[in-house]
Amino acid sequence: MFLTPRETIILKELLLSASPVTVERLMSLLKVSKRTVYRELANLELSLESVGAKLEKASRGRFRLIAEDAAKAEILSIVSEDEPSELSATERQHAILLQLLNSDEPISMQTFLDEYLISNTTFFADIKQLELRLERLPLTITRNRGYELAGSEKYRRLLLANILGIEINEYHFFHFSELKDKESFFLQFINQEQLLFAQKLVREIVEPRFSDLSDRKLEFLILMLTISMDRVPRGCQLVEDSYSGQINKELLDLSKQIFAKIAAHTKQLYAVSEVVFFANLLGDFFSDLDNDFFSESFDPRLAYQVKQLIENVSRDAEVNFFEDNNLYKMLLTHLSAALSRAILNQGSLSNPILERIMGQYLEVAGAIRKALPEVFPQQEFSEEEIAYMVLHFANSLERSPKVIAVDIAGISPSGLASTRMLEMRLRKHFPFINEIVFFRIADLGKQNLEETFDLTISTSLLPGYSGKYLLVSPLLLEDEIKQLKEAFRAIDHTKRHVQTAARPSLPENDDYQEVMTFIDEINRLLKHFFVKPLESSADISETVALAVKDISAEIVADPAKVRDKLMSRYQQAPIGIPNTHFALFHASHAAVLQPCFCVFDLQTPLEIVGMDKEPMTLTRMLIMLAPDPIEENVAKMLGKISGAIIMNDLGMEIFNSGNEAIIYQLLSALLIEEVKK
Amino acid sequence: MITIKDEHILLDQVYSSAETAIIAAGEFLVAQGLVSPNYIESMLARHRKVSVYVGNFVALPHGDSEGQPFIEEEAICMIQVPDGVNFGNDQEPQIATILFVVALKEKQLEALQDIAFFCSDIENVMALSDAKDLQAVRNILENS
Repeated sequence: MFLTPRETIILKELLLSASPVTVERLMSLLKVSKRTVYRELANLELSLESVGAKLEKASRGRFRLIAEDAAKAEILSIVSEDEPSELSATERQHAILLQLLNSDEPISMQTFLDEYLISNTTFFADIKQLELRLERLPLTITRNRGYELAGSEKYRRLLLANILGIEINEYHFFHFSELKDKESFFLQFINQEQLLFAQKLVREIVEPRFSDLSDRKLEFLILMLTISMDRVPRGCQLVEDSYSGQINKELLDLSKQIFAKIAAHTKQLYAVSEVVFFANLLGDFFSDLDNDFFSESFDPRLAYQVKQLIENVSRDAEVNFFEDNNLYKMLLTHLSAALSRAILNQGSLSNPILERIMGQYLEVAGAIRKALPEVFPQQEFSEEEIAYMVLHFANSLERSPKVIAVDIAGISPSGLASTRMLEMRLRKHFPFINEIVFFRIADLGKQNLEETFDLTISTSLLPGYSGKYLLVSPLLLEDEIKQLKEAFRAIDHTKRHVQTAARPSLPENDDYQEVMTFIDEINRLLKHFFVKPLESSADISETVALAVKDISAEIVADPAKVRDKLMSRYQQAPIGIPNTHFALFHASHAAVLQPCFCVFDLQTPLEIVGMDKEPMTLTRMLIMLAPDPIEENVAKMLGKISGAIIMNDLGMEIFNSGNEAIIYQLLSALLIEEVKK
Repeated sequence: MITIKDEHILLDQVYSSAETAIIAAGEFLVAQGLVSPNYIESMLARHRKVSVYVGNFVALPHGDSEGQPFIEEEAICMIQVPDGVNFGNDQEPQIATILFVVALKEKQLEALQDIAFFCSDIENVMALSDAKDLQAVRNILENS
């Protein structure tokens, strides 16, 4: 297949784009008229025929590429071959940086000049640019009979993974073994045999445990392992004990399993720091507020900053994002990972999908740009990081018909496989779907679907059927998703009007016994809840001691130990809730016999520091105690309460000023909601 | 499980530097009749090539392949250094409080890796560093 440069550009766009490509987009890419675009498309059709692929008109003026995987790979290889071997300036700088990061010895300038066919002025400019971008990282380029990179091994590796992740196209990354040589320029900077092995390990050991890892996260983990396999035998050891926090034992075990395989494969000793470092990387990806609230590594300051970010963006974009707990969790996870990753300053976006998202959600993007320096004054964020944040907010917008459970009737004449596929796609896009029942066309008319189901969809036309239905393909195309979204919004309205009370029924599939135990636990927690005045002292430690002493001996076995634990958490990080008069004191300890949440109103106000590091007056002390180790149900309950305290303005105000009856109401509503999940 | 005989455990030792610690560890092996004195040089050589400090306050002194012929009886020893000994430098200290000294002909790499896995849980290392007597050490190692 021979391709003209224009055809190459069109094909690339078709390959990279997640949705059908518009003629307008191609006009602006090729800088030609509409007529020329159509002519090029016609030529391209002919070329594609030879590899068994074709162009399909998705809708008016929108096209997509239809090709089997093998054909797609072939096209991709032709497109990349046709690429002029010249790298863009950014790519060249990344390549130079990768060489420096990989090398144990100084590299002479001449090597670079020969390799990239550039003048020394260009090279100096490249180095200067790189130095600028490395500014915030503990890595420096040194000149000493050649160029060399000095600095922390940890950041060296993180940066290697970051750049390789940016430059290697995801398709190439996950399918490189099927490709021919030299198809991705940047794959040469990595040992491919090791990459294949790392891929296998992550797929076999990490993925079964965390099935919803994104391509990017998978890629990052795989790269980090490959880099470890490459560097350890060269004597480049990670020795920094960079993480002082405790790590999750389960993740440590996963990491051990992986390194056991790597050690056997490479016949090499992997230090403790390697194992711990990888376990921590896993931890960065999977931190979760509910379970982490009591862990020592939970960062209340970051939690507060995330809340602040959501608040500012909500105000600016005039969209209420507060209530989306999912958004909060995603952002917290994302930011805690982002802040611990080494990120190269990137001037512009290299990912077309992110670029599109930024364009589509201009308002949200603007609000985020404005809010970030206010909330994180010391932190700079790359354009890519911002785009990912926009993505999380955009997801929240798209999810907005939330909390209602929708039942769907599906009609499909085709077999089980395609209905399963459709169901999977529906559930992925609309997690709030409660039930999907598929009917055969033959069964139609036997029952009134509209009475039992909120929405009826069908994969084929139903001439003669009188009920309302939505036509969708098993592939669930983009515009179909849009239509469904609108349909769901309409349901949202009617449902709220018709049945104001939430469904009282408990989930049927869940084990009844399990639900009952949970309800018992909730009742026990509520039974011990109280709000009462405390004759407090002017000293915080004494006040905490007095409060703990006041809690029933049924709950606290050893008041002194619990006081110490509460105080150590207090000293570790500020716990005062900004713009209120209360703080959440929490701890888990073996001396706590059962979980407890209670409130003391202090007679002597105290001056403390809030999560925003500003001084505040404390008049109310919320105490949350849990046994150690903490059970899953208990973690869920207490996580829900602490979430309501930090996340939701109304909740915050109720905890700030509500009396016992009001807070009790809120708590029981919150906890019962948790049972229904 | 990491098996160490009682007589191969040294508690409460003090060393001024990584090299002295390694030499002392080697001399301990010699005194126990496990290796001949030449093994010590191979332990030092291995450390100079790549630091035997592995993180989490643990160092694993052992000989390189040249040292193999000097091993008389295969064994793993453990030395506790409660005040720590610096395997790094002044700018970037790497303090080890536990040394596992390894003299194995076969399966040396596997044994070292197992010890590293055991020590990747910092709680195990803290417990070993705090152990007051042999019984305590034995209890901790039994869980390895």
